Amino acid sequence: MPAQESSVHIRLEAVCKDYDEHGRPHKVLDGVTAEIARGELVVLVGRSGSGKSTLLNIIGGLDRPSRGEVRIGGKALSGLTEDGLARLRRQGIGFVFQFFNLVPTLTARENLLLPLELLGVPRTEADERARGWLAAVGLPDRGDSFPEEMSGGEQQRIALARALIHRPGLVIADEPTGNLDLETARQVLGLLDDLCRREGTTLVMATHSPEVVGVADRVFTIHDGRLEISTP
Amino acid sequence: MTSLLSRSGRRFFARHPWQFALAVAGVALGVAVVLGVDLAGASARRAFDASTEMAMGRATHQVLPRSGRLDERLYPELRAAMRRFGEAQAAAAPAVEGAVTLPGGRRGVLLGVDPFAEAPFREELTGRRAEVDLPALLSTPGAVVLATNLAAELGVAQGERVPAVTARGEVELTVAGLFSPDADRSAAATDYLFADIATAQELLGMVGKLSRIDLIASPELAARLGEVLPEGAELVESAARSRATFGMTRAFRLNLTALSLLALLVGAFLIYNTMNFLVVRRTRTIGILRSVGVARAGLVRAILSEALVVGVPGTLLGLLLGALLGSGLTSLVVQTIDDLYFRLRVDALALSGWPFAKAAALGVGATLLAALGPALEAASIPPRAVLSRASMERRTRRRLPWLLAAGAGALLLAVLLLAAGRNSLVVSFAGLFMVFLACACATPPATAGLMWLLDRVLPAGAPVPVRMAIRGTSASLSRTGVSVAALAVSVATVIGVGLMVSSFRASVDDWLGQSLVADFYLGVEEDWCRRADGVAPLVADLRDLPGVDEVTFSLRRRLQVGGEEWRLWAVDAGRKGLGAEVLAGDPTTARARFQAGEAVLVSEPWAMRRGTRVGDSIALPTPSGERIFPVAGVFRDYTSDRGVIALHRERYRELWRDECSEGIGVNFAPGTDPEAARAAIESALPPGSAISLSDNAELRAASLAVFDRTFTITRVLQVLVGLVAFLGVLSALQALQLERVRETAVLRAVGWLPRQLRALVVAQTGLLGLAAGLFALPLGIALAGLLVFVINRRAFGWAMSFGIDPGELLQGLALALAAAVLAGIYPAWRTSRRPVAQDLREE
Repeated sequence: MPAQESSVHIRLEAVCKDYDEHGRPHKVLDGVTAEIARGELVVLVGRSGSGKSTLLNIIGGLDRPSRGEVRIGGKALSGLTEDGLARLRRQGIGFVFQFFNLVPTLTARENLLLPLELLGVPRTEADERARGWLAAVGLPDRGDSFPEEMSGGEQQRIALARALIHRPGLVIADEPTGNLDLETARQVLGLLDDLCRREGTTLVMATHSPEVVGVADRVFTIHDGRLEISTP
Repeated sequence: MTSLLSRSGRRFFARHPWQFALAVAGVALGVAVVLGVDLAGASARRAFDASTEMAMGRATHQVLPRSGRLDERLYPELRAAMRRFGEAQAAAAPAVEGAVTLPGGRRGVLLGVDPFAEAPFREELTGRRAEVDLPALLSTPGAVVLATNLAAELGVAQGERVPAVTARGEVELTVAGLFSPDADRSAAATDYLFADIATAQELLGMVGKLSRIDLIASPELAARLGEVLPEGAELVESAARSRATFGMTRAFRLNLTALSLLALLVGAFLIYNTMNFLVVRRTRTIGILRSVGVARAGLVRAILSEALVVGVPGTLLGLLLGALLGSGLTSLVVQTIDDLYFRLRVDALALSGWPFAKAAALGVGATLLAALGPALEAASIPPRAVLSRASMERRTRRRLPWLLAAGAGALLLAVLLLAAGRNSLVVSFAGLFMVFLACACATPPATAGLMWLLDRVLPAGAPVPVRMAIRGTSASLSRTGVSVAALAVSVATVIGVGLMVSSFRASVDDWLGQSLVADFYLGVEEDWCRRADGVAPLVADLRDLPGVDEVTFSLRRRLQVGGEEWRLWAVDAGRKGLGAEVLAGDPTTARARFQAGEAVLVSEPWAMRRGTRVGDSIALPTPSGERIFPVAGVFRDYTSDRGVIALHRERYRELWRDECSEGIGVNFAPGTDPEAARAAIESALPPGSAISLSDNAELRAASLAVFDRTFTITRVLQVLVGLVAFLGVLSALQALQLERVRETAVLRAVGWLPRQLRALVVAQTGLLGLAAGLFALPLGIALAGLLVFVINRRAFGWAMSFGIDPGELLQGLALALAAAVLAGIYPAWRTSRRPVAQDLREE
């Protein structure tokens, strides 16, 4: 069911993505069209290599479509330069990755400060917020730990906090539980769902996990480069 | 299995051509510098041999005057003695030698020989390569034979005339014959003009005199002839004389070789870095291979063979570059030898197989040696290891104390070698290299320490990127440590050599200030002086000039003593006495005894080389027999690293009956207008005399210009060492960039702008440069101290005052920073342009 025009956060208009594979074009996305409402939780599913990550990267401005257009908050991404895309990401998007991707040379607290520093948030306020988010993800005492000193689940919780600390309107999560055991995955997922709903953040998440599908507002299935939309 | 590993290595290089290219370039440059220096040395040697052969022919021995010239009557006496001693194969030929100036100011040597006696010695006059009109050579006044290439250069043909200036003044030479020198001697041949001995004696003002008598004789015959020679003559073996002459340049050439080896050492750091990177990147693969049964030895072999993929093309390219570099360096080496030691002319590079084979062996050897560490590292990876980068770095950190211990061991060895190498320059250089090695070992722990300190002193509110730059440097120590070491070693070389040169220059300048005390100096050509029967009339005219206070004299003569060539400096520095600092002996007594002509002074290198002390005696061969002089003192002198003996000119004049002086100093009364003084001297110079006039400042500047020119080659080699280090840093940064693609992609994902990433990379490289620069400062100062107090003293025999010029230190620090930042520009640019989405996926 399409979202109301006023509440549309993300609009995908006939998005195509081709890759060159040994000199032959390989079509990954083939005219994907969809709208995602503000605060909605959309889950992307599909087989490995179906184009889930590609679509997430295109929505997040990390990659550009071969054809078609992506609008976030009404703004066409094709009109933005690399710097413009970077500014959009720092202000309006948070990312959660399967392999956590924390900066190994920074402590957990410093990883959280990264997006805030980019936005020029005053240091005292940034420290305050980092403390709050460490507590929110259940790791109030791990602020001075380096990523290598933390478990996978702890690292992913820090990654969640880093994705949300600057209050983005959109969080993109690519297999956020793919590298965690079942129990930890369940905890992380619950936390992500909870935090996004609490902040009113739009969440677009790619996953293989059937459990995740249960918490989604809508499910986008990619098959042969095309999108099938359903409600769980 | 290991062939699969090798294949993966080759694929790695194919996918990362920059990394491959930088490693190959590092080896190539190192090999090129070693080969270039070797070829330049070999070319200088060949040029010297060619020149010696032109001068001496096939003479096995020579009879030389111990001082001045031989009486020509000695020649028939010697022939008679040879007949008496009966040796059928023996031959003797008289020779006179003197300078000749040809059109265009070209200087050459006029060699007068007996064409009939000379046949066994050389082919220039009678061989198949010669076309000589013998009757014309013997009967035409001023008839000469010269090389075809010299004739072409002068634009003259057989039978034509060439104006020239000899000791007799302006003369006209007639080309009575031409000879075609072989390729090896074509450059040296252009320095020589041959004439019949009687013609040459006439042209050189040496009637009745000989410069030497060449001999072809067995050692037994030579020994017997040596016994019958008069007191003023000495018999020397030609080969020994030639060896001793070229041996003078040994220390200079050894210094260059040491610098070239340093370039190779820095190049080896680069190889180590690349191979280490290759191992770290494939830890998983290696772990899996170990788990399926690949033995450690197999892995070591595989990694070493991968190193050869870099080492062999690098060495081949280095050989090619080295041949090119060699021709550039040859002219610099020859120029320096020409400035410091003896006249040398070279027109082609001596390309023989041996220097190439040596350089190739060094290139491949250094590659394998540098790769051995990473190969052993690979072999130590446990089966099924899935070591993370972080755990690899932890392993590196655990090794830091061992590296420190190795550094301390190398330092201890350095001290032992430097102490043991009092009489061996090679051992001293080995000690110097150990100091480098010690510092290279200590660099990674020191880098870790410095970054730890910076991280601690950084205020809590410091920007996260700054902290990232600091921690990033520390966290990738396995990579950055080696690059910082390479950069620190090369910058330390720049600082050390720079400080040594500036200390040396300051000492020379100071010494010039003490020695050059006259207001004006006249350079008097010896030939002119002989024609004019001495400088007395000129000196009388100078003394009569208004305002002239005093005239001083200086003359250098070579003496032949016991198969060696000594240098005698006859000097009369006027009322003030010898200006140079007296280093040993009571200065007042030494100067007074010298001034009175009752004692000699010896220069510092002389005392150093021969162990001469104040109170010792030196026997000088004079035309009237040997005279013994006590040594009253040791004085500072930088004119010759072989050393000189200073004798008061009045005493010299009396003993040698020589009225000449090569240098005449003129002092004016205070307040005399310099321009008027110069004009007055110019008016006193005899017309047509080739006497040069310089004021004190001009002569001092000219002397310093020669000093600076002799260090040009050192500067060139310094730049090349720096270039290899620069490639090392560039290579390390490329490696870091590859390893951090994911980290930088995350930063891009959270909204970092490309320029912020570029700034981060440049900040990191700046930190590497800062660390290298800071470590290079103490190492550079230590190196300078060793060069000044140990190497230079042992190599050249002179001491100098050691000064630390802050400018040199700042320059070194700036160089390290600039090299690192410059090396960071390309990786920074690439980092900011990488595809973020793809990098985020890559594991």
